[in-house]
Amino acid sequence: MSKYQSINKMNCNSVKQKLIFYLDGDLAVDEANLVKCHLVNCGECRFYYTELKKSLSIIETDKSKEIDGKFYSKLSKRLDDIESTHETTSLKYKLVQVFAYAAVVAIGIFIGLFAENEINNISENKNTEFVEQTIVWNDFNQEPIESFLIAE
Amino acid sequence: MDDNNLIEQIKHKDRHAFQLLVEKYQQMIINVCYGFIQNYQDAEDVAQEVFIDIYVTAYKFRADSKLSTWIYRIAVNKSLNYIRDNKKRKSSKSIFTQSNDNKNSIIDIEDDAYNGSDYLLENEERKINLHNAISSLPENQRTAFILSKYEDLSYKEISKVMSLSISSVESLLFRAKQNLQKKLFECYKKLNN
Repeated sequence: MSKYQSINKMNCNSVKQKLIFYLDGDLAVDEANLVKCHLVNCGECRFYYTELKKSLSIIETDKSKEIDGKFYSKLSKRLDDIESTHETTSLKYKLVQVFAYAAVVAIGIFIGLFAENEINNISENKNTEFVEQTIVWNDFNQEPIESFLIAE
Repeated sequence: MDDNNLIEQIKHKDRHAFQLLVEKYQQMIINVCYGFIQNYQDAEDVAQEVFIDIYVTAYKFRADSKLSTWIYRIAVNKSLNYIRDNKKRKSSKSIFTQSNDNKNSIIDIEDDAYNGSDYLLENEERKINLHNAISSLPENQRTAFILSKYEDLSYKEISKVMSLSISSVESLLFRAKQNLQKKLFECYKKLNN
């Protein structure tokens, strides 16, 4: 192996590591020139360089793909569907709100009526107890205390 | 109509302004989505979701950044979410979609007056290898690489989209290119042997 070949071989790894940066123009001018010279003389590195160049050029092909002509009309249709669904949902939500308010009012009225009824019942019961107590007092009056005292 | 006027009109649900915005940015959004998803049909679907998001959440846009930066951010997030959500489904579907994509690209190549079947196969294999290599990159590196390569954005623009410093973007791109090259060289080694 000649001296030139050994230097060339030694540089292969570092050249290979720099190939993508060389392709992108990221290297300084001196470094880019070194890589360029190496590629002229090294078939293996040239192979990797050519393959890498071909691979990265696929991105350019991908980018230039034509857009479907119906892209906006499809999008517009999707947007219409979303908006109509949203309108239906908001209408349903409004209806649910109305029903919820009505239910709350109905429950309030029912509770009010029930409470009024209960209060009436409680006050009626209190009156009955008072009457019963009065009767007890009346029973006691059947045997007046004065009669005991007289009997003895 | 400039971007600020467009977005102001869209905030008021102006469909004409929205159509103008779509026409202006559709290529850019599809490119970004395709860079991540690597299937044209799915990329278009995600791009449509991006536009719907723009239309619905236009009121959230504040003019403290460029409209394009905000749109890129939505496109990147939507694409990454799509990949995350479809990871399981994708693995079972990949063979089918790849063969579909192959058919499409074969038609494209035929138009280019390359008729050798070896060339088609070789090119297809190269395309799959490149897409696999891009997909294997970590999310941040992949995002920086796609914005740089598919959209030719500058470091500064990428830093704004990714909310990173310019030096972080430089570092991300350097590592992305290194990793991508490494992956591709593994494929070339097989070809070379």
